[in-house]
Amino acid sequence: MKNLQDYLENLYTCARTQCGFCVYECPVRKVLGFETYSSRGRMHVARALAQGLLEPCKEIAELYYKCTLCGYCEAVCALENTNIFRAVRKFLVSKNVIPKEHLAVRDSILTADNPYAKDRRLKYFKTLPVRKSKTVLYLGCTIPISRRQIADALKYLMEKVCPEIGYLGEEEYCCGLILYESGFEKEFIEQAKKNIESFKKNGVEKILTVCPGCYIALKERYAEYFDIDYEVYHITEYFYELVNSGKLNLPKIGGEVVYHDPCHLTRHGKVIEEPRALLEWLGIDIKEAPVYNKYYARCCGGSILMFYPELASEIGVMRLSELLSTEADTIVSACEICEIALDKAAVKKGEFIEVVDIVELLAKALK
Amino acid sequence: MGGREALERAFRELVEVLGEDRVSRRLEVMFSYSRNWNPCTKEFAALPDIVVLPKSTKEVSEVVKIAYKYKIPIIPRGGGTSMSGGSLARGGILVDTKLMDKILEVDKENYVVRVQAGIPILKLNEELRKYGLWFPYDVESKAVATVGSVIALRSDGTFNIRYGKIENHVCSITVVTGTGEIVELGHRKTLISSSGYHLHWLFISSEGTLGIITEVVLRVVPIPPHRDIAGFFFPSFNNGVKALVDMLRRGVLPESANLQCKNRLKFYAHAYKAKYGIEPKVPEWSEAVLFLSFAGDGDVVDFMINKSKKIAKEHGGEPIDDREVLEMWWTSKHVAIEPEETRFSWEKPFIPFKQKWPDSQREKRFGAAGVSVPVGKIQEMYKKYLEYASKHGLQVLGMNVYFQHPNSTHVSISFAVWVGDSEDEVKRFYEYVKDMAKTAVELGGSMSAYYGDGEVLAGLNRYEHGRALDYMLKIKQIFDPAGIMNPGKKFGESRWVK
Repeated sequence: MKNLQDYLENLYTCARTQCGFCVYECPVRKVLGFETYSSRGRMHVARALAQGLLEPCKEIAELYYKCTLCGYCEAVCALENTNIFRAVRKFLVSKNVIPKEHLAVRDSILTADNPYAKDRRLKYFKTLPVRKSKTVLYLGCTIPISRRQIADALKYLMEKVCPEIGYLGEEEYCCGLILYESGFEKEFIEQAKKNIESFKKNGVEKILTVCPGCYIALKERYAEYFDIDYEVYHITEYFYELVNSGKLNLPKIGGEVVYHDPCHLTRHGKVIEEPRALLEWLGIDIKEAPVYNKYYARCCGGSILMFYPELASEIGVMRLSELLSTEADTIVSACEICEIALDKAAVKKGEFIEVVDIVELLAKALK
Repeated sequence: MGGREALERAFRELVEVLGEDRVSRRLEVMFSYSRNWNPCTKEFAALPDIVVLPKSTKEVSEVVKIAYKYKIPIIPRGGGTSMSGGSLARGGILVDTKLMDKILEVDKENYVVRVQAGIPILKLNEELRKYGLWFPYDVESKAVATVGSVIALRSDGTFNIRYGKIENHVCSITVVTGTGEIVELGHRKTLISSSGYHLHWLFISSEGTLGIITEVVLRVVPIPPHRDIAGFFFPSFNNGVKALVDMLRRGVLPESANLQCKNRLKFYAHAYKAKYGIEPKVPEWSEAVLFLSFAGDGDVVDFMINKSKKIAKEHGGEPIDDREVLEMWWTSKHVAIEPEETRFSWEKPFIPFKQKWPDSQREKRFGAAGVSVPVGKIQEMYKKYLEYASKHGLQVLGMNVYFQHPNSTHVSISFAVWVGDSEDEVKRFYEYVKDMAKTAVELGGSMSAYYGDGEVLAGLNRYEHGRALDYMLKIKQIFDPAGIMNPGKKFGESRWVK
């Protein structure tokens, strides 16, 4: 992770370009109003911090930690906006100006190996069959703790459809992405080391993730610090390949859904067409959120749900409204955190709509 | 009472009116509003004292009444992309209008819409599309430029050779004057009236110096069924202009027209170079490039394009065959940020992760003198441009002529140079702008064609307007008796051009 000073030229370029492509649609600005909360606003403040014109303080920390890092700004800008905001967070950590919620989550990961301060054993208790393989499924923390239905679907798929997929059980550790995103670089590197050593010890060559956050962590963030000798695929990429190469036949289950692109998978991971292809093969009619889909998909607020639940749910409601406008009766996504956020948004908005993970649909079809 | 105490009281009263969430005096918030698009040094920051976020005309009125009471400057702000520093503060209350972004009425039968002035043009068109309608005022900063700000600046638009500048779109406006009074100006839902004085026209390019535009009734048009583009190399600018005049005379009616020099073409083809590693090929003999777009039924568009090719040839033009060059021009002019559902199928999307525009701005940045001259003087002005750029030690970026008046050749011209952000280079840039401004007036044109006077040209207004400036000041006095509305813009002393 670079330092704030490394981005000075980018910050000057933004200040002098001032094009504002990133301002209006920023989900956080839409809720909080001030341009300060948009990417351009944060770029100006980052410049002032880097130039020593502003001193770090609690309010400035909130400004950066409230960013969902959805990267909508990066669909229209070349200035590595979210990496700059990560660098600001790292700078804030170095100055010890950190919101208490983020400190609590850091401590939870370091002591309980998950961000939710839950007993670590919850992650492995009756989830997936632990077995060795060169190809393993990386379950992550959120699915076993808060989205058990996905774990059930995965278990079925591993037991009945994909016997080649293994699972490390207790030898899988939290990916630590939240540490990275929050600017706790040192702690992130330690967390990454634990996983990489475990992958080595267990002879892992290929990792399949379900959570797009874990996907980015294992595939891209670890590679910033270590020479990694394993491949990482999102579960949708893996199933796409199975079907595309004729190794798996998907029965048609029909239906009509709207697909919500998770930011980490779509804009950061660039996995866009594979989930759609799987849905099509399942005989499902895909509705797209008007205008804001694929690269331009908007954030659901999920990444800040545990830190700023009110703000996150306002963002979630905006996204939900776009998805509901398609009149589909089911929302499908490929990220458990998005699904939790959209479920909460539906409750807040007083709407009933089913939110499912694509893995659940695959399991349903193959039963 | 004045100074800090007045600000303190005003702050408390603003919080009472808008609530704590929509009033701020945090320093980091001030920094985020500290720039416009005009060139300035790395350290430059124009800080307001307070930023407010009203949501309605009534709230704007309350805000201005408080400012009027304490004689505190008001700086209205739309997208913050002004090229003349139009929304830069020198203290005071900055009014961010972007929460006033609602569409209040879509009158499909009469082809008019009523909107809050803080809605960005891209957003407005995204909504209008649901009704098959289009607001064809396509400014390049449309993702953030608001309806209010394009009125306040009389900005350029891509499609103005067909649809005209903003006065051709504004039926009526609601404004809050410098005393906080709410007044409706113009003629409800019609563009056509010969009754009274057309006071809404006074607000066109008024840059917030008379009041804040809060609501607008705009004419809109049905979305055209089809569009296509064409381009030509010409031996000179005069040849290009004559060809266009002849096209208009013979009934070939483009919806957009740009005439540019080779250098400007290279600037727009940044993505071409990124893709192929070479610049697009321009014949040695060619000085000027004319780009056109046409809209209508497919057969009409095809006919117009074929006819334009024939006429261009008669004036020494040669059609550009490389479709990719044409589309790159178009992507940079119109669809660079349009999501899939708001463009025609052939129109190239902005390519995320590749074709990102600030990438061309890393070393030195775009800076322009945006003037207007009579069409017969383009060639002469171009020579002066090269001369002044050289005189002030600035690298030429290129000229682009935007045809801005319906079915005619009245133009707005961007004479761009590359500008660094050292104090010396910024100073030289504004000296260049001053030379260009004076020459444009001498040639029978205007020193500002699309970005108002702002803080850049404020001090030169006597040069362009002479005695008329005194009448303008009297008009300002009527709308803004305390002189609090965007002070320093239009009439004050420029921060930069001395």
